[in-house]
Amino acid sequence: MRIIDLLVSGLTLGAIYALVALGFHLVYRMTGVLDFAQGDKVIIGGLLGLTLVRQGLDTILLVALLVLIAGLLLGIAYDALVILPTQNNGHIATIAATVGIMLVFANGGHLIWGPDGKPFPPVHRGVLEIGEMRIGYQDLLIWVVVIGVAIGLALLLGRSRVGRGMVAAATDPLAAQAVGINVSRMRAIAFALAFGLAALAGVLVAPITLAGGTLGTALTLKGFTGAVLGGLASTRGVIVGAVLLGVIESELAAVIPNSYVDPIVLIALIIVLLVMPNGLFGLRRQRLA
Amino acid sequence: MRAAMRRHAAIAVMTALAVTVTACGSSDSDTSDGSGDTYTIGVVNSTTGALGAVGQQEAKGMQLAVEEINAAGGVKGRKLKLEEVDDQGSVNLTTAGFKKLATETKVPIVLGPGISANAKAVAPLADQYGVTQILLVAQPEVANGTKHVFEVPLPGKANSEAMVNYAKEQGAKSAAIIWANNPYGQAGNTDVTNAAKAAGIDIVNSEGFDPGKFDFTAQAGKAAAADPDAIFLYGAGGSSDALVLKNVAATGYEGLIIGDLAYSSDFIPETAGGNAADKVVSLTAVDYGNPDEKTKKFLDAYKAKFGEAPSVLSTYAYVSVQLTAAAIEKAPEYTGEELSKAIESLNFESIVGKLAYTPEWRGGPNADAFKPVTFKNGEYAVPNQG
Repeated sequence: MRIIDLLVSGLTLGAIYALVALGFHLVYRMTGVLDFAQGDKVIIGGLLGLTLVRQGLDTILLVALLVLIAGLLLGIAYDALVILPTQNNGHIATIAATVGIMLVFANGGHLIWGPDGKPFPPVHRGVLEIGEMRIGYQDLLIWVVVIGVAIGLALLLGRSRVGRGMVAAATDPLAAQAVGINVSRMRAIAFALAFGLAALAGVLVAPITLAGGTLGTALTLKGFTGAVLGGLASTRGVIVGAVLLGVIESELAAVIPNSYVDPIVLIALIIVLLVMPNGLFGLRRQRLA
Repeated sequence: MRAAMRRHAAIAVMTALAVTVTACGSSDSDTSDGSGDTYTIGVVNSTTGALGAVGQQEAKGMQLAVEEINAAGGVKGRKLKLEEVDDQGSVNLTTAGFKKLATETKVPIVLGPGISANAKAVAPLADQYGVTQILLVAQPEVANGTKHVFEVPLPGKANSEAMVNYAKEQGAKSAAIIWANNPYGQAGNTDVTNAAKAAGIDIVNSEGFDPGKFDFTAQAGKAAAADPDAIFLYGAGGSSDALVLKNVAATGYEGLIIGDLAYSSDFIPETAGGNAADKVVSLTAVDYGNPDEKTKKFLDAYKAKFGEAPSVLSTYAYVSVQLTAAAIEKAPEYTGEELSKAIESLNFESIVGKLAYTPEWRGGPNADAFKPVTFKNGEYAVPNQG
């Protein structure tokens, strides 16, 4: 019974990490940048949702839609204010800027909404019982959204003209510009999508993680770890890596003291990366190539 | 190659992030030392940063106390004024803030900080600068043996003893502990374990939790699976405490759930869920369930001003200002030396118990001052003393 409970909570934990990891993947594939503010964008999304709920909006799906739109707009502003001014100084400057804005988001959120996590209503209360397995409807929704986003991203990046243009712009901006791709617009779209995804994720996970609080940095680290484990450049790898991380964390916590879990998981990650430097799915892609 | 460089850059940035402590300035301005029409009281507090929740609660308690005292005419005809420094949870900023208050603002008394590590770092400075300090930490060993340092909070060890005493009164013979994996929770785990051993209660499982996480299914499952008569919860003073309680209740555990004072926070029912909140009994410093007249007046005033019930931390901070006002009233001069003498001689009756200090004992009231509190339909209630 407990193993099943832990598997369910591990899958949800992994799905939450996956939502952050997909943001890393999206930005990395489309722009070549690692955006370390991804976890705190999730927190900002949850807090925006909380503000709407406190204003009396009680249809959570509508809240999610409004927060998604707000996230898309914030992403465009994020690109203009954080990425654009630093991109000419190289990737390290841009990455450093994302780390800086991560701290701004975290402390700004505390100043506006307070430092503690706040309860947030789920889309649908209750649990689904299948034999001994009990799965919250909110957990199910998060799983479904992760799968949906992953399929959407795979199609966008692999099959669509816009997606291929984005990847081309990230791989070789000069060549992409020479063939008529508007590199700046592609980058803005990438950051808008990443912020929108993070904001939506914030509303979805807040009933479980609480809205706000100090979780942003931890989400960033775990999302990044999951993405690197699976292979940052592979949509499937990112999902598998993040979910695997969540399940392993959850199951390990049941058999060893909690304080040992993170060190063991991160040491295991280092070993995996020594053997497979591009992550679990990165290596496979290389072999296939 | 480029990908490898990007990865190295990312790792470098993350490593730098992990080891870097951000630090910047504080805000203060006035240089009053009690001359004129105000008494300026220094405050070192953590209102931003990872532990900002602690400092913000304390700031509210102090604000209310100052407003009440000033509305009633102040002390010796003068108003009280707080000169606050936000240390952002950083030990370096705490000591820098204290020195600034002592040497530039020249206050003779400083309230706070409320974080153990910061309090340990700054307490020796009080004697060095001849400034009275009232700490908001529950560790008497930090203040004992000093000349100018006092504490308001009831000692953490006393909280643990009160929790174990309650479990014993309810007939518990075995127990599990789930504790926050930070200095406060670690000390709680040690104290509860020792107190349980002394009381003849067998500890069958002890598990830490990371207050920075949100999923505690494993810890709750392990504690419940050991089938103890009681589960002790020693929290971190934040919303993760409520999530731990929620997870314990979700296991279907039907024994006693006994929390430290963190579990008397008013957000527990909404965050953990009513069903879970109704099951926990918190041993706390404020009698929320059955308040006397003085406590009720404070609870009502706080709720009217801030729209929420005061946490224990807010209450300690409120009491620290009241204690300061009483000391100013009694002291012949507004100096650290005279204020310390006054505080030691006051035997101040506060809403968290009697603050009786000696040259050897500088901690708050003992285990008897803790009251059992639970929730019913989201409101504070007196537990059924079955």
